[in-house]
Amino acid sequence: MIQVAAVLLAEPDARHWGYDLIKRSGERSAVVYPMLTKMLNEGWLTDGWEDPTAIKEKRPPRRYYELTDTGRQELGAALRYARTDRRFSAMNLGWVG
Amino acid sequence: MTELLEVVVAWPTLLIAVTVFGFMPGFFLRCIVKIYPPHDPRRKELVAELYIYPRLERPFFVAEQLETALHEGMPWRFGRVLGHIPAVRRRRAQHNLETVTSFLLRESFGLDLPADQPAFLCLNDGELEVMANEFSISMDEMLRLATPRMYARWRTSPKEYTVMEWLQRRSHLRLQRYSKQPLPRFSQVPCLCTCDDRG
Repeated sequence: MIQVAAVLLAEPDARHWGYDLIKRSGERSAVVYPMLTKMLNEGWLTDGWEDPTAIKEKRPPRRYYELTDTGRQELGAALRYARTDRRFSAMNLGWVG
Repeated sequence: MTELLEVVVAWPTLLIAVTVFGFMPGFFLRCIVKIYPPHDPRRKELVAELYIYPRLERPFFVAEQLETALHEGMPWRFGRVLGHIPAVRRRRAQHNLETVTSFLLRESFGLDLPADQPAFLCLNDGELEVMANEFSISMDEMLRLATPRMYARWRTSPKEYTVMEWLQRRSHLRLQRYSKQPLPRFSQVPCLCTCDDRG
């Protein structure tokens, strides 16, 4: 969760896509998607669908995720905690412990 | 070396490559997503994401989705089967009633009841009544007092949900399905449907 939180908070106002989250967080998709579902249920994220008219390639529209203010607060708090915890020091989160 | 090249350019090899990296990922993924409930957006999402992946990674992505789908989708499938058992239905109904009540009490009145103080939402002749230990209030009274805060604004989310929408979103709303008596129609309460009444 911490890696995903770090990726989401790196661009808190941007739209995040499943593929990008998986690649940038280094987590497996089988971990990231259930996590996204939980974050949606908690109200930390909102979701939406890509505008089909804006897609140039031949593919279906993708689902995106955006952080809510609550999500920024909650994930920010989790990330701050992780930065002070030695267990997460290997994750390159800017450990300050 | 020549033999290796011959293998690479051989028709069966080409056919296998096309099947493994072209046809099978999409086909199997579409089968896998059927595990999810019919209207689950993850069905469309995973299929759309497949085409973002490089072709070489697609078979592995599909294999991972089997794990995800089993983890997320199977509880729903089993839940439906178990839901036909009367004892399970009763227990779920009670759980949902407690969830609704504690949510209403917390959001509407700021009452955060400890877990050992059960709160029940009682349906008596269509009258919805909230009772929590000595705390008792009729539905009319509750709505009168609680209207401005009945909106589960879900904190600062740009979307605003009514209580019922919020509960549906959290998959807690099974009341209509499990309770024998019909629920009062929340949608008919104007203060719950318009955004103008927000406090």
